[in-house]
Amino acid sequence: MVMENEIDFKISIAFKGSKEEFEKVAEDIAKLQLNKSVAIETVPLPEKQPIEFDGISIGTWPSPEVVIRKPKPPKPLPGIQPIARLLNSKTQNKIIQGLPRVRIDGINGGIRNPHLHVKDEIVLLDKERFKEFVGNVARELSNRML
Amino acid sequence: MKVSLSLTHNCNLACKYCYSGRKLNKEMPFETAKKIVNFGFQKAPSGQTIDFSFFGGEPLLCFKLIQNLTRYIREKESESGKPVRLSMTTNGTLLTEKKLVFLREQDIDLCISIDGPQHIHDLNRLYADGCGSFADVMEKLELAKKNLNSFQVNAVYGPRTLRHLPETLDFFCKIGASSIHLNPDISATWQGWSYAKIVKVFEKVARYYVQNYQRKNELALNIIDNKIVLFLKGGYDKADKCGMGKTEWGFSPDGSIYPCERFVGKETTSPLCLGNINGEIDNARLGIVREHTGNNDRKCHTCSYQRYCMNWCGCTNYFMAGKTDSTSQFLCNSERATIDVSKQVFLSLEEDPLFLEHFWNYLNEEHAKVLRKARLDVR
Repeated sequence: MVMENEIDFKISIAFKGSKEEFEKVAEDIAKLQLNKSVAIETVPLPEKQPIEFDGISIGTWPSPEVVIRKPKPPKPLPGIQPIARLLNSKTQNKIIQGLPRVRIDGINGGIRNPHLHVKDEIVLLDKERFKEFVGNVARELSNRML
Repeated sequence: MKVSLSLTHNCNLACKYCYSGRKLNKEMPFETAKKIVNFGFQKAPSGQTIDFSFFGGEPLLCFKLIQNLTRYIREKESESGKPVRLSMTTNGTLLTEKKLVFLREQDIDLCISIDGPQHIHDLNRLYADGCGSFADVMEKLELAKKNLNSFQVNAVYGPRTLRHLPETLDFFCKIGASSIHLNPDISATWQGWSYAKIVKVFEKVARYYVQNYQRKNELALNIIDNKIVLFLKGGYDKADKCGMGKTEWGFSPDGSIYPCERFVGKETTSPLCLGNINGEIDNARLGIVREHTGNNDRKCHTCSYQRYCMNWCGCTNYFMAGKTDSTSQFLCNSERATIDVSKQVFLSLEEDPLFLEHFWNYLNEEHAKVLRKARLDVR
């Protein structure tokens, strides 16, 4: 996939030689990504092989390949997932007004209890605010095409 | 973290669409099962709930193993402080009062596979001699209702049974299922006609859902409830998505490791077998699996439904499109239909008190236990 300002670079390599030689080659390849003066050519992946699954040939699976990963973008701070993306911050602040802010350690995402995020804290909604929140989301959703 | 243990390949049924490996008569040794449990506890980050799910084959064929394993898991839970959720998917035919009491005492969520009324269920869910299993499942369902606070049902629909979904839903409501899961047969050949059909069928399902709430009957239905939760939270989070070989693992009875329970199959010859719990993980293969998760279909990245679409499900993609990171036309149409009807349901019921109560409880109860165990720092 190629998105704006982003390169997804995959290459298939056949290499024969010593471990030291390969490490040098790998280093050189890794530099290719960062060196914009070098033309980057997308090499087609190896032929996909149909696979047997319980006696039935199902689809394809890629052959092993060397994948050069691009540097990962910096991670967002924990707890700043834009949960209430449909609502603007004014509406969101109105809903959470007066509710305690909570910092939760040791959950690593996946909180299902209704909550909104404010920086690195969350605000757990009570039942009344939850109803208000649902109403706001519905109003916002009704004005949008998915 | 989800760890699925296929406790046996053996099954007393021979369902036509079963994806669960060859019917070999072998049970997972307890020592192997313990290693898998240890693996789950070791891999799960601190504080994260570990979902251990028992399936098969028919897991109730090895009930003694389930008992021993459950005790072992509960001990590890106390020792480690990592919260655990246990579940089991069964065809239900082997349930007894004693087994149900054990499930209740150990807080094991029970999901019974039943496809709908008899004429639908017995199309696919057959004994090896070709006889339908409906009557036996219904008898055991009654027993489950008496002994458990709640039970879930799981129905698989295929091209032949798609049009019956509204009838199936009505049937499940009448038998008192607390939660209903409708899932497509991912091994079936879904032809073009089904894409338009699924829209009409889901519209009927949605109407039924709305009518139920208007009649003050609560209804928990996965295909609609899940999407409504997504509307509320603004789409799928990273944590919701397929974690093949990262947060999701499947194990066959001999301890072979797979990136998802649906891939458990032909033992070590499968290209998706990532090693064995009694040996080593094949890191090269694991790397490839991880590299091919998510969705790399360029057309999906500009789709307005993407935020709410399950196009990242590796096993569904693999079985329906041949690749783990590419979506099938069926899934695309099915997801669009589901999202559209769920939006209509949401807008129709957003002020309905029972509907609001349903989602409030749905979101709170399940994770209340997790939150209680987490360290809260309230300002």
